[in-house]
Amino acid sequence: MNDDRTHIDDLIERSSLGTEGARRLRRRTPTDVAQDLLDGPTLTTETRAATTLLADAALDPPAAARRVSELIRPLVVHYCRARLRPHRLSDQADAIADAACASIENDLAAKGVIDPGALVEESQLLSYAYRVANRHVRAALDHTPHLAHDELDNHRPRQITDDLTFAIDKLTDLEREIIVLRVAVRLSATETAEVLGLRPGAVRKMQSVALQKLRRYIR
Amino acid sequence: MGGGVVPGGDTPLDAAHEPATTTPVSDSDLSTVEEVDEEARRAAESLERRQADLELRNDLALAGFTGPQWRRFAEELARYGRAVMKAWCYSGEIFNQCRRKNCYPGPPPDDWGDDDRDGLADDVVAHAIKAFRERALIFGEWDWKAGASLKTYFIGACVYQFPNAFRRWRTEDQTWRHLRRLDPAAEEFLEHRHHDHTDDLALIRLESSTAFDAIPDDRTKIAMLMHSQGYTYPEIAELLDTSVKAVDGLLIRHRKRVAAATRRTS
Repeated sequence: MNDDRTHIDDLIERSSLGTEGARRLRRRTPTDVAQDLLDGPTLTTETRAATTLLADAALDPPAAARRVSELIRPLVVHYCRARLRPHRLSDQADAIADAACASIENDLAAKGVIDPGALVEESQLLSYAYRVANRHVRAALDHTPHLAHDELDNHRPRQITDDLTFAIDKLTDLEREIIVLRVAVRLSATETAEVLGLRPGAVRKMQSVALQKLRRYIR
Repeated sequence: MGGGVVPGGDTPLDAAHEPATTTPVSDSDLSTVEEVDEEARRAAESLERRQADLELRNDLALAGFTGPQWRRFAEELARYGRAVMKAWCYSGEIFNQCRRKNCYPGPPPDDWGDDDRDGLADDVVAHAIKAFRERALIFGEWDWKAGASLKTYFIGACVYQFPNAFRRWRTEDQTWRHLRRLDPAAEEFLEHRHHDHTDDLALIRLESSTAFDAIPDDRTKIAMLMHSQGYTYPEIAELLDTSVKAVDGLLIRHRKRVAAATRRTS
């Protein structure tokens, strides 16, 4: 494999891509950005497996729906925990994630025979799961009063995570969703863009703005 | 240089019998010679690179244009294409290129920022790589003898993809503006977007200067814009498909024009 890589690299450098100007221009694009362009939405193992199940689910929709819900659950849990932690609702996060997954499962099973044409796009499944999870989180937050920063336990030494979780709550809705999806749920910029209906470049820009804001709060 | 003819005679002299004094060669003649040499060198390099392009293409064909070798090549193609598209979007050159290929998508917008250009460049290159792989490589539309290198052919594919990507961007932009009316969070993001473009502010300052208005041709304007953004001479030469020496000439002539204009007004 290393020999193959050396051989192809040598061919590339001797080709028209290897002139001095071309080499310098290539270096302006980070490799991970180039990889994003080639891969399109890069998905986690869970969602790939889930969409395979969806495509094969003609005979037993309830069982397939249950399997999809189980596979997607880790992402939903990460999301709910990250969203609810700033409001000191971490102890409820898993229960809310379970409720969201149950909604997803019931919704998929209720469609009867799962149509391979519906939700067969991987990014659509991710978007759908995000919308359901987001709805459950908002419902939980609507019933919970916001805590001010100084209502944190005064007997416990202030930790950097307290400032960070408080600061996340100060972001705009879109900035917060991006930070949570990128950092806690570990979606790529392209996946996050698909989920939120934005361009990958917009996601990168907003993430940068949000991170600058977070740094200011922590200082 | 070779031997000359004796004035009044018609037989060539050899070097041993050349007269002691010769007509001095002017600076412009020297410059012409250097340009011819440079062009010859570029043509020779271009031929060598195209032959290497053919070798690369054949090697990739053995693996069916898939697998790790294809992946490696596609990554470098994407890195190159994105950089060119970003630079051309910034300078406006992409619209000139579209015009030349009879696929002009309309005038550039007044208020697009770095994020818009990034997104457009990404969209264009992602589509172009697929089209290039299928048509240029698998179907064999690229011919190394026809004169265009692999990278030039790929950039041509990017230009053809630009109009559709630009229309998609325009539709999305209209959606953003609509969202802004409904969602204060989106409005705040758009405010950040408009205020955080130091590159665009530099461009506005450059474009509003008298010296920029006085630049007589598009190539010099593009060279100036790219130079102001920190692009090196080899990069600018690559973007303008010319030599480093020609870029140097464009910028030197521009500086002389500015100096002359300054002297006139002072």
